[in-house]
Amino acid sequence: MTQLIISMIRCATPILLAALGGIICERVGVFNIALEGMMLFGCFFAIYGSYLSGSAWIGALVAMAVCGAVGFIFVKLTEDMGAEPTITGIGINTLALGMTTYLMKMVFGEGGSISAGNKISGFERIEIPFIKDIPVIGEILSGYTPLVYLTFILVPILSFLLYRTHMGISLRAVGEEAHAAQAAGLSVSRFRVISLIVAGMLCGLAGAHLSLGYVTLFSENMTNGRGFFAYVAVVFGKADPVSVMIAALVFGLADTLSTKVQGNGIPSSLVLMLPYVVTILALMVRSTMTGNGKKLFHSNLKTKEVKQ
Amino acid sequence: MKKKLAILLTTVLVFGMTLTGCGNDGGNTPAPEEGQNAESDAGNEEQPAENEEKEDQKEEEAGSDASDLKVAFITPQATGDNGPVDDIMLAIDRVKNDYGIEVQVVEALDTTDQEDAVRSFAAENYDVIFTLFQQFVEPVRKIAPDYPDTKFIMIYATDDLGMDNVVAYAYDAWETSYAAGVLAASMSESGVLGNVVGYEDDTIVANSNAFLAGAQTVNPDATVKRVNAASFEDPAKGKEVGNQLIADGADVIFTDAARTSLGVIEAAQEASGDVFIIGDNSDHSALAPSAVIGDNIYGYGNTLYNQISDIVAGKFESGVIVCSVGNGISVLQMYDDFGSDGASDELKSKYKAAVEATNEIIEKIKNGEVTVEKDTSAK
Repeated sequence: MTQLIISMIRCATPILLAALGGIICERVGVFNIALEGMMLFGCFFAIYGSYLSGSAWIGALVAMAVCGAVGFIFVKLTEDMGAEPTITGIGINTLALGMTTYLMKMVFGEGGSISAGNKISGFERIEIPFIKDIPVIGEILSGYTPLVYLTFILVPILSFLLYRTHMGISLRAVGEEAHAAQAAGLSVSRFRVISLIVAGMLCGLAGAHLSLGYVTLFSENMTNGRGFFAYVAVVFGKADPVSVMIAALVFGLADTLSTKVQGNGIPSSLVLMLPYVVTILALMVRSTMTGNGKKLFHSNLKTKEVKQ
Repeated sequence: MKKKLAILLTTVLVFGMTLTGCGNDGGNTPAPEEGQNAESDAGNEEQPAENEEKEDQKEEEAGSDASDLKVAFITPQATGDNGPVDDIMLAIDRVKNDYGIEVQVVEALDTTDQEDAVRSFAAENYDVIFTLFQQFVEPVRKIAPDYPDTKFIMIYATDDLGMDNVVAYAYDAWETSYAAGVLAASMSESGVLGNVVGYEDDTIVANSNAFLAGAQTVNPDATVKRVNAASFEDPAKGKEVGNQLIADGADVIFTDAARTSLGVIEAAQEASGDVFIIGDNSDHSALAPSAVIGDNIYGYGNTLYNQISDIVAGKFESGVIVCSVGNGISVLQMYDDFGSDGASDELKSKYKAAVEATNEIIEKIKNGEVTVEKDTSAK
């Protein structure tokens, strides 16, 4: 049971961290399906930064910088140039897969995967003093890599920022009613640009966690759909940080169970469907509860202008 | 405005796709060591003979028309998998060194690309087209009759297509898996063994069962917990599965999961006690000299090398060829320099004894004293 919870937290963290970025995008009304690609960029550049500097933290910073830039490009394309966000997102995902594979070949001269021996330093696990000695709870709470703790600390922080600060209210206004926000004197596009940069940085951090915290290697397409799960978590949690965290934990649990339950006479192929079944069920339940399948907060200045 | 955008986006997309293509094609995967088949020096009964012999032959033959041979290899899995594809890439390097033949490598990762890839190489009059894994059987069945001068070699396929220009190589990998079971049980303290697979088909299930059977010859109470990670390309998942197995008490994990097994190896390295790994299809010993106790090499690389040698020598046999321990293609590779990064002498001597016991079994499989059945029942 303790192992199950530990495993669930480990599996949920990369999804949650990227989903936090997704929440911000969703809240300012930008449809961002590029979480996957941004995360993949994060994975690669975290490894690259760590390889060059010998420090996992610098690796994470490099990942954040690169992904922030990717977020900036994304929002410039979709907002200023009016590009279709879905297609831009797919474009960035494809670009991320191609570019990281290509760069891996260029930089490390290896295809497929790199672990580069001891040259890449990953995050060390943190054993929290005192807490680690408490039975069961200590086991569950202690012994993760730093970004796991950071992720769960970011959830209440983001929640506070969104609901309790002036900035958060403006941010939500931009997403929910862009025209009203503009009339109130807020710069919609500035909000979106900054939000997307921050979201990109969070995705970069998620990638860094995957390649330096979760494992210490980079492998082609190593996100393997986790960014899409993150997006689903955002939709399921209606872009509310706490609900999204619960969604991410549910996915983490499903993922854990899909390997844990195997071998008791149940065919593995059935068990392995679990995460996907859970995803579909979650979305169904969610849309029945809210009574619509509409997009959450996609109030867009540009499309409205075009319609008139 | 819209037009410009459309162009811009298309460029981004095309650029992305091109890069995917570029990143994939080369063949310069790392070549950690030369002697692929340390264990396979004996028993070359029939058609695919030994490499050392071949290396002698080639000296005379190189420089003739061998290098004009147009050879292609189509893989459904990306290079750099630390598994089957890398094994073949090493063999391709050997072919290049020995015969001067440049093998064209193409990754056809999507099912939709695979038939196209086969057809386009055939249409370009390639002499030999190698494919990897079962999914190429149907494309080859369709295409091969149209190109009788092209030889289609399907690595890891069990179907006899009945065509003169097609050969399928099947692998009795459960033989080496049985030996791996002996090795694992000899090294295990807990008697709980793990098996991480990327997929479950007949061969893989049979391997798992043989692994258990082999382990039980050493320790009748041994158990094997098999986990399907459902991906050959997800090291993060591999690490999670590895951690789970270790938490459940497994102290030797046998993988059949290509790149996913990199994560399993990491989990083993980080485990507090001694946890050992028997990898698959490539040499993993350099990654973790004190954790990797063996690698189950099906022999994809040897297959490709031997097949090209034969074709150069003017030999070709169609149908299904079964590769096994007996004909020296499949090997369980074990490592003399185990523990070179500081394992205790006690552990090293334990490993030595385990290797001896395993080699004994391998000899017995070779001379027929032990037969390993293909058992595909779910356990």
